Amino acid sequence: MIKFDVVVIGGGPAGLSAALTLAKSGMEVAVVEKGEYAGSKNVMGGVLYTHPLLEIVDNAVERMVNEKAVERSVIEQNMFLLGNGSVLKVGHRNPEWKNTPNAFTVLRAKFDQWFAKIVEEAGVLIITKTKVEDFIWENGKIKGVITSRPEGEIYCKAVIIAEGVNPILTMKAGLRKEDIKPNMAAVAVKEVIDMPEDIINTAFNVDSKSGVTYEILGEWSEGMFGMGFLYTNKDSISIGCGVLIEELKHRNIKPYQLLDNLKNHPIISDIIGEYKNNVKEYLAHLIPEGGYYSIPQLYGDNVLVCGDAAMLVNSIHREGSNHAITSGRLAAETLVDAFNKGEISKKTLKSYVERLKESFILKDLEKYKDLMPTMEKNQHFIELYPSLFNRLATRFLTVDGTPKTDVEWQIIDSLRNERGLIGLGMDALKLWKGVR
Amino acid sequence: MNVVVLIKQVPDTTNVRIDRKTNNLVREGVPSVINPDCMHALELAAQLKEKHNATVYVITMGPPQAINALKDAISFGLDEAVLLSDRAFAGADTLATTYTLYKGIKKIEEKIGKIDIVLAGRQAADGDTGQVGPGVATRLGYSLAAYVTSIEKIEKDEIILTRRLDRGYEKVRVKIPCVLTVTPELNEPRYASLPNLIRSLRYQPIVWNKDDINADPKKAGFFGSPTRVVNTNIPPARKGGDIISKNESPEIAAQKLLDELKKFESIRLIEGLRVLVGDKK
Ligand SMILES: Cc1cc2nc3c(=O)[nH]c(=O)nc-3n(C[C@H](O)[C@H](O)[C@H](O)COP(=O)(O)OP(=O)(O)OC[C@H]3O[C@@H](n4cnc5c(N)ncnc54)[C@H](O)[C@@H]3O)c2cc1C
Ligand SMILES: Cc1cc2nc3c(=O)[nH]c(=O)nc-3n(C[C@H](O)[C@H](O)[C@H](O)COP(=O)(O)OP(=O)(O)OC[C@H]3O[C@@H](n4cnc5c(N)ncnc54)[C@H](O)[C@@H]3O)c2cc1C
Repeated sequence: MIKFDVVVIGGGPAGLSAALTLAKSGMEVAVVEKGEYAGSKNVMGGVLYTHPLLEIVDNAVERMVNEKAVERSVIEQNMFLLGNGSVLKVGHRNPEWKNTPNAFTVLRAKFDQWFAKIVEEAGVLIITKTKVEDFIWENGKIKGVITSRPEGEIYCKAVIIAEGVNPILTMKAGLRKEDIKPNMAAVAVKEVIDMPEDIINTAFNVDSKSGVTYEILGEWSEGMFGMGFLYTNKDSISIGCGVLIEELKHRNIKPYQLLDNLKNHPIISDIIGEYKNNVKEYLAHLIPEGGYYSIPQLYGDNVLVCGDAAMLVNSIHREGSNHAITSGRLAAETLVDAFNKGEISKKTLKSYVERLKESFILKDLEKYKDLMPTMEKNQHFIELYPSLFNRLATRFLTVDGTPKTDVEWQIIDSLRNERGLIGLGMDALKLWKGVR
Repeated sequence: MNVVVLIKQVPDTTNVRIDRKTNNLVREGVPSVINPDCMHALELAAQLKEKHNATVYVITMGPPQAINALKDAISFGLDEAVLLSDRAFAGADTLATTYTLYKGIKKIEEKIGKIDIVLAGRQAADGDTGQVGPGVATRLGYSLAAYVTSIEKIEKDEIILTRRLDRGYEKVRVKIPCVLTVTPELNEPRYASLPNLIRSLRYQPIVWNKDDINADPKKAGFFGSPTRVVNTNIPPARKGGDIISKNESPEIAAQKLLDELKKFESIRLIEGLRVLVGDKK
């Protein structure tokens, strides 16, 4: 009979972080991962924030850089509002991030393998190419997992579910009643485009260690609420976009058509130029977008859920991996305390929720809980504003002999005609309420 | 019964690309796997272990990262795995490869006694010569059956099996001790059980260098290899076929196809013959 203290389902950032934390407290841990290796099936934009790793990996930044787990340190972040052929942009660059990296661009296949190696070094057994299919139940309590392999039962004292966005086992564990709905997840598609290192350095005005990010709203999404992105890797760029499944279904548009829109927009096309067709990889994945209201029951008698499986994603700020790593750690710490108390039950695992509430995770998700519904209900936020603001910027910045006072009145007139001043005021209020 | 399986680690051919400028394999970033044919040798070994209580050693000659192939091989439920790794083995052609493997097998014999059956894949997905199995048989002085497609019976001192020929199959008796090289038709490699998989993940293969197997450096590796690669060619990229009809009615498409076919002499000939033979209407 195969026995471990804890079985972790899923070898993504959430599961690996949980396993590492448990192993450091001396527990016997197995991670079961269905992919060929950790990260083989995982997709991210991907901007990885350093803070949650610093908590669990010694010298995390040095190791990641030296062992080539990450691509470039992000020193500049931009927000693009694409209009019809034009862009309005806001950005921030801080070279100080070279010395104290805040975030790195990553390719998940590489990053996850690195993370998995660290976790294995701590004594965790990572069982790959093996899928957890169900639980072993005894007297209403989970006693282990059943995997896809012959003689595939593993017995354990507790399970951490870190299965990612498809909450199949979360449902089987009784922690979620129904599957995620089309308005709770976005389909995201992404391409990795080969681009020589020195071309990237010149095009984005960075050195080989530093990178930039663009978050892109507007014209490409055909009026749907969605986020596009373009990130620089070492010698490639990641470009992609995500839109709610519901909207895609409703509008009958394929995700790759949107990605084509994005790539072919004159502003983006100018940036990636002739490399547009050097597609090295094409990836697609779901992103939980349900936010605060979609979070399942987070714990049971001897089971905890973390990461995307717990829907802990702040889609407005494209933060998911940091929530995954932190929630994995918090779930593990809760479990370690419960083991020390000698009682693994709902009573002792309840404090997981308290820990999440004290951390940025639930604070942030609560803060933004109404922003997505507001955006969904108010199509014009996306349909109207990006192009309107672009036209206004063009009007404001085009010098053609019109006196400035007249230009200002023209701008106020267009605002009045296209949205109405009261509408504008209401929108500002809604937006404010959404992020308050 | 003592069995040794020879396995080779090769680039995952489903991922291999060829650089058309330099004609080299693009190996960078391509994961390595156990040579597909070897998987069938491992499956046969696992069955011999189950049915005939065989002791099975897996052996490979290769660089240190070939450890991963050996660990994977252990997940078939086999006993031990040995890596033959030494700078002196590098740059081997098939002659030197079989020498090193032979010395490794001899060393295994010292531990477990006479080896009855050596199993190899039919050929390697990268080198593709199919010479290693036969070469090892020659060095060991064992009987050889190459291209084995099925095994009928294993007796105390012989095996009755079928092997594939250019055209058709041949059923033969092979005297034990023997070397078999196996084809994919032989069996379906198993999905390892969880206990065997876990054992393989924790397993550390035995590593032997040239001194451990008492290999003569002049016979191994580059210095033991009379073959020199002068040049490598790859066949030119295949041209796509012509599309003669697109979005047209079946009648028109068929007519166009017929017109195209008639441009071939052999087909015109048949047309001509029809006049002599008469139509079958
Ligand atoms: C296109 C895109 C862009 C993104 N961009 C960013 C970004 O820039 N920054 C950011 O922080 N986040 C980003 N995210 C979100 C981020 O990728 C996720 O939040 C994060 O990966 C969640 O980690 P996880 O461990 O919970 O889940 P995952 O990374 O999905 O890992 C789950 C793992 O569990 C395995 N698994 C599932 N079921 C089973 C089973 N039954 N048995 C065994 N194994 C199983 C899977 O194979 C997988 O390896 C992005 C996501 C997408 C799709
Ligand atoms: C002229 C020439 C020069 C070469 N130079 C080099 C070189 O410089 N560096 C280099 O790395 N390679 C080199 N090679 C490749 C190397 O010699 C062959 O890959 C090796 O001898 C095995 O031959 P093969 O791949 O054709 O295997 P095949 O004979 O087609 O393989 C059949 C079976 O033999 C067994 N087998 C094959 N190789 C091994 C092994 N290494 N360990 C255990 N079992 C095995 C496996 O069971 C396999 O399924 C060269 C090959 C040639 C022909």
